[in-house]
Amino acid sequence: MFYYVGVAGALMTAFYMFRLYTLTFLGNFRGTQEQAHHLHESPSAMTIPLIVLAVLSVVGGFIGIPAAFIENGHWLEHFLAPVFASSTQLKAAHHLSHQQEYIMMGTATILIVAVILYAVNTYKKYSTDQEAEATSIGKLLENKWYVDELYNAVIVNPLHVFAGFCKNIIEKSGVDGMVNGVGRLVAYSSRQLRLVQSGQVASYLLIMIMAIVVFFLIWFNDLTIIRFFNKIF
Amino acid sequence: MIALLLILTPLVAGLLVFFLKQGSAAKNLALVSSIAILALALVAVFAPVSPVYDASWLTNLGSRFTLKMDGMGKMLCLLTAIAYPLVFAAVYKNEYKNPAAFFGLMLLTQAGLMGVFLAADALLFYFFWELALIPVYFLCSIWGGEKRIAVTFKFFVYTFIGSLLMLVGILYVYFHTADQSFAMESFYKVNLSTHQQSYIFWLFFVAFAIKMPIFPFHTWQPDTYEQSPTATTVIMSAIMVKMGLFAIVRWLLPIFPEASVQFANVIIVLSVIGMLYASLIAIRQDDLKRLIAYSSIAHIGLMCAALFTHNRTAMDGVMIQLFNHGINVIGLWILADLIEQKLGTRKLSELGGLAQKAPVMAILLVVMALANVALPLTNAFIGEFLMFNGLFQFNVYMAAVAGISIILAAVYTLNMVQKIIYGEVNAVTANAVDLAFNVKLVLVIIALVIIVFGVFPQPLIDLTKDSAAGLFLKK
Repeated sequence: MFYYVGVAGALMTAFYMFRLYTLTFLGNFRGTQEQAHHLHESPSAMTIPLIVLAVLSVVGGFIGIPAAFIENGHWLEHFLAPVFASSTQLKAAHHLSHQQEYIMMGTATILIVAVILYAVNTYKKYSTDQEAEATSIGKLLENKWYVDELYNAVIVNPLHVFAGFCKNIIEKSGVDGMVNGVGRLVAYSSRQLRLVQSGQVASYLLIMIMAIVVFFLIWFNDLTIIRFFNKIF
Repeated sequence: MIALLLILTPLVAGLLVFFLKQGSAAKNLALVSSIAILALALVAVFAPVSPVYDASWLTNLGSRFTLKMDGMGKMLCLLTAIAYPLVFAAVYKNEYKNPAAFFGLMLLTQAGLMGVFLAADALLFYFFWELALIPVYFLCSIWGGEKRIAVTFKFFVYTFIGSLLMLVGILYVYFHTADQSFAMESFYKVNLSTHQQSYIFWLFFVAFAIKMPIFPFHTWQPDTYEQSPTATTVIMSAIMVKMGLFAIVRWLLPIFPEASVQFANVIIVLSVIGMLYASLIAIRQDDLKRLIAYSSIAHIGLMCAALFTHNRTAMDGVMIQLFNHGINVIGLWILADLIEQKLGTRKLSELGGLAQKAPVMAILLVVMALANVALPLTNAFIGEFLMFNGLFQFNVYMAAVAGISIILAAVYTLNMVQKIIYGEVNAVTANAVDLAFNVKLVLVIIALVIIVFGVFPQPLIDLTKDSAAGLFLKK
């Protein structure tokens, strides 16, 4: 089962890599005249590293050559052995005969070559004007399975809205509003208290006498005040 | 003696600069004396000098002019001493009206800051605490932005209320000391009941919380950072907020051990709320200076939370972070100032494409930004890691919630980087030029410090070992 999934993945890789290759390097140039004029080989700063990488990727393929072709040719077989030491003990041994391996490798290779040829053929004559509106699956793929949209809807947008709420409502009207409110309260009460300082000696005297009466009563007998209030209410 | 010199030199230099007639002479003298102070601070930190200076002061009150350098104090003095030459060099080409007064007041602030980090007498500490505040008031209200008067007034009232509460607290503790003395030793030995501690603790804590600032005492900070001249903002953001954290370690935890355990939960919850809250607001900021201001609130919140975990690892983290956060914000503020001076706007939405126009600046901005996110190999990483480690041991859920702020930090910081240096060059950024030599020098030094301490933070841990450990011995 896993073999088929693996082959399917490999086939898709073969398809999209050669689609990319064909669209980029084969067929007619689809850009403008102006752009065509500027086409040139990349500078050696790019080509030399690319050559080195290309050589190494071929070499890399042979380092891990399976025992089916060259006995003990697999240099990397035991490279990570210490890492898997504990897990190999838990895993049941799984062995294939060389014949089975040849069949599997053969099938995979033939399929891949077929897919490559198909990809090259399909896209060789591709031109921008035959581009059609993507159908359902194509659209799903074009939008990367909508994973980014999902993230945006579930995490990014709510976070932005909440952050905006914090910034504009809680911070401005809530916390800072409270601080400024204290300031305004002080300013307001001073404005009101200022009115008492009217400069009219008569009202000063009135307040003074009222205060004296109040203090006198408290001093003399606070029960008198209580009784007084009881009488009123 | 060297402790006294650390305060006297900026004080004398500040007064000299203040009364100079020529602006350029004032600027040069300020720069030279700030470098001299840096040399002094280096001697104080690395040479085996006497850490104590003692002279009689207000004998009748039981207050002496006592200065004492412990590891944490040394480190913060060093940070102060490093910050000033960097700032002076970075703003060297800026035009200020009345430069003599500007640079003079800046140096006076430095004297106050040094005093706060050195004072070993509560009254002296209070004295320097205010001395550092007053020049800043004038710096903001004379050289600030359009709304400077209203904003400075708010800032002053806010911090002054805190200071007065602290003064009441200091007096209360003073009257309960055995020998009626303001000395730090007497304060440490004072015997307050749990009940008494639970009240007086808050008098001190509110003062420090306003200074740091801790949610919900923070609303003065973004306004003030935004409106102040950037040189002053750098000093406030890199050093003055450290006064609050420093004061907690030196004047709060040892004097009120029971209350600081009793209220640890409350304070950590406030700090963690503040971290998330400030980070969220930073995400939506369009103003570069306000963004850095809110980012700073979030970082300070973590340090405050870590202090109250009463965990040795977290304490080491705080010590390292005090220094490193200072270095990083200096870099960020200098860049913000540069962008504002050169392009005339701080709005992220109006910027873009600076990577093409000013590649060196773009690279340095990315370094500072990554340090702000506390990426490994930058200096902030190790401190934040230790603090989260301590917070995790204190309470897993707290640590988890606080951890979200790391992600949010990446969101707002990288968003900021993206909007400033990538995208299309527009009308505003079309004429941008790359860094001038003085700014490049300053920023490269900062970037080097970021990377050196990111890879090898051990010297900072060693320097502050005694302060962190001292807290745990006193119990």
